[in-house]
Amino acid sequence: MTAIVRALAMLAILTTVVGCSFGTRKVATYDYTPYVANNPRSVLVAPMLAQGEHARHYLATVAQPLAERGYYVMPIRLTQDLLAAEGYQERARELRSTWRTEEGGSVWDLIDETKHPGIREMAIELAELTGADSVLFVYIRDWRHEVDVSEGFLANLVDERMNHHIDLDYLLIGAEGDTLWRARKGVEYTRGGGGFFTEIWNARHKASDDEIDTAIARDVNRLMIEAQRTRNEMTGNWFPSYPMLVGPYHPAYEADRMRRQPGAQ
Amino acid sequence: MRDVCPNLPATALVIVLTLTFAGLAEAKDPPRLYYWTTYEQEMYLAYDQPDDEDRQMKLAATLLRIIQKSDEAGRKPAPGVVAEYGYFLLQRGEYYSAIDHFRREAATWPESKTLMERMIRIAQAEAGL
Repeated sequence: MTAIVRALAMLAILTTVVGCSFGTRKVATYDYTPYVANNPRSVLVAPMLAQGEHARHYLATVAQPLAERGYYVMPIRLTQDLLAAEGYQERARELRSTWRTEEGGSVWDLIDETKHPGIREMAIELAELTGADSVLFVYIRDWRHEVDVSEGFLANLVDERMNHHIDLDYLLIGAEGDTLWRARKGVEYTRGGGGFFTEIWNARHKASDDEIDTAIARDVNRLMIEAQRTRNEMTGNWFPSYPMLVGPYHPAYEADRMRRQPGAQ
Repeated sequence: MRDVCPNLPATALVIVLTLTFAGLAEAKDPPRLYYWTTYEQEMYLAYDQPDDEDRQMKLAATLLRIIQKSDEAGRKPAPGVVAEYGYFLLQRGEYYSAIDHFRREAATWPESKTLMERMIRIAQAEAGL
């Protein structure tokens, strides 16, 4: 009996300690020091580390949130073509293929000079070639559609329930090769399913996968770049994250810079 | 209790305030800095069907509409839009007009100067200037 009481007491103490340790844990903050020091005015979107239809969704929807964040965004289509002609698309593909062989690797490994000096060198070269102050790399970690067959006969007959899942890594490198910002975000969206009338409505107003992909890409880009001010309209969730600092053409530029200065709270 | 878990009152307060204001936090999008019209849709379709002349023309029309709408309102066209239109003209062999647009982009956005000078050199070379 004494042993049971002692065990329960230990459990209670353990629960309290663990519970309160979460409460008192210092919230991690993002170190914007290199970002503030570099103070980029312009952003070049680097050739995608993976090509394909999802790269197109991403590229079509990235300029607007970057520009609205207050940056000069190097013209996407023009620069993607120019850099492809200069051989950088191929180099981006090679970089990814060497990295891909490492099991469990992440895009963050790419900036590790001991493993992949190529990406940092590439950022410096691209900045020099275009005059950009910073270069944004994105890696599509995951982008898939899955038909959910667990919803029963009606759901799959009238309107397939489709799960869309996107997971992207972002990496912003300054013209001198400093890492300024990195972020990762995954978003899920489910279309279809639901009750009979929802099914009928969905079937009549069915968005194409392309439309959904574009909408999700737009949503992810906004989430990543603006972060704290944006909600995922499809899932209704807020995503706390560390946004890009606002650029020089944004009305909140000075205030944001002052807030992110080292030591400022 | 405070000694054991000093953040408890603050945590509770944050939770209450969060729940209270969650409904109010349906923040509207801030006013946009630039006109975009159907930029994203047309850009995607142009990327998706690069050999479809109609899609390329629609993207060009969208870019031109953004430029005209911005001019009418006395605002800067969004970053890159004038240059993208210039690039469209370059691809069609309208070199002089392309150069004019690259120059305008550089004058509007000093950050683009290096890139636009490069594009002007490319256009001049293709035009045999």
